[in-house]
Amino acid sequence: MDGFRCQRGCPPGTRRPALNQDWTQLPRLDAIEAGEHGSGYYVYGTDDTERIGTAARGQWGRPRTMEVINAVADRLATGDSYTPFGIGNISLPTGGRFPPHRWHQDGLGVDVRPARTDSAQLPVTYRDQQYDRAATQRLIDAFHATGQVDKIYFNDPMIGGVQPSKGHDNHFHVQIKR
Amino acid sequence: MIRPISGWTLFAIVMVLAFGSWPGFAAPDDKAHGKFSGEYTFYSLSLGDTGPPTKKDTKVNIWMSGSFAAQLYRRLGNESRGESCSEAIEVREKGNLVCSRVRATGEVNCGLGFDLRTGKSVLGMIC
Repeated sequence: MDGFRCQRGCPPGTRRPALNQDWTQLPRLDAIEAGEHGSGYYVYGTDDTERIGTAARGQWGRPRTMEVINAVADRLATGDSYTPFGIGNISLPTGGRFPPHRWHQDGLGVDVRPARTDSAQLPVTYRDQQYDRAATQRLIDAFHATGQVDKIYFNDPMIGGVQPSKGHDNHFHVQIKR
Repeated sequence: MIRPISGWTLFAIVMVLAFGSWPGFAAPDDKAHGKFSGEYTFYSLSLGDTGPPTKKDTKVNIWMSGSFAAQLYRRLGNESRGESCSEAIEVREKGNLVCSRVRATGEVNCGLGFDLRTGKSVLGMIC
């Protein structure tokens, strides 16, 4: 996890993050080598021309948030069958209001796609056939295992460690502790 | 000399006491009509994981801000308190209309959406 604090002379396997004071942009999968720190996730969201979901522009957060994401990725990235999980909106650069989110302004909230049985990097709701409940539970457990998670909002009643919230059928929101 | 209070005066006092502080009642500077500021986004799928709008699936999210949003928040009232997602904000919601107020700054924003295929409202804000 310390790799994300590395700024100069980073050891192999770590990447230098783009920093804006204490805000960090989540490195994108296409900039990360397979097997490298951070390769356990992919990013999703619309590009800068669309307002909702802003891809890289909406993936700025606190260093601790990035540490949690990487800890989860590292924890799950074992075995040949593992497929990266999808990271969506975090915050806009240095925070600020982020339609259509109620909050997502402090760099401590992360949207994550549930796992799919076909491993496609596409949306899925917990009611869809392609939804992989067991893999989603492992993913949520991995977030809790970091000890840094305050709450996770997700609507699948068969998943533990979450609480329901409107609009969370197709992604879960992880709120990192302040 | 103490004059007796007339029925109408008493009624007015009761109304002010009852509704002047009643959650959801408009503030004195609220206007019943006016312009508002905001922005919109057309999209498909759902608010938490959107796609570009298509012929078969187009929804619009309307994001309202400024004094209009603040007025909406007040008029929704305390009884419509909603899920805040964070200690930093307070939320009021009814149906798919959602307003969030940042505790530190008092800034209010509201969201409401519509599915253009059905004309029905859809959720306006998510965590």
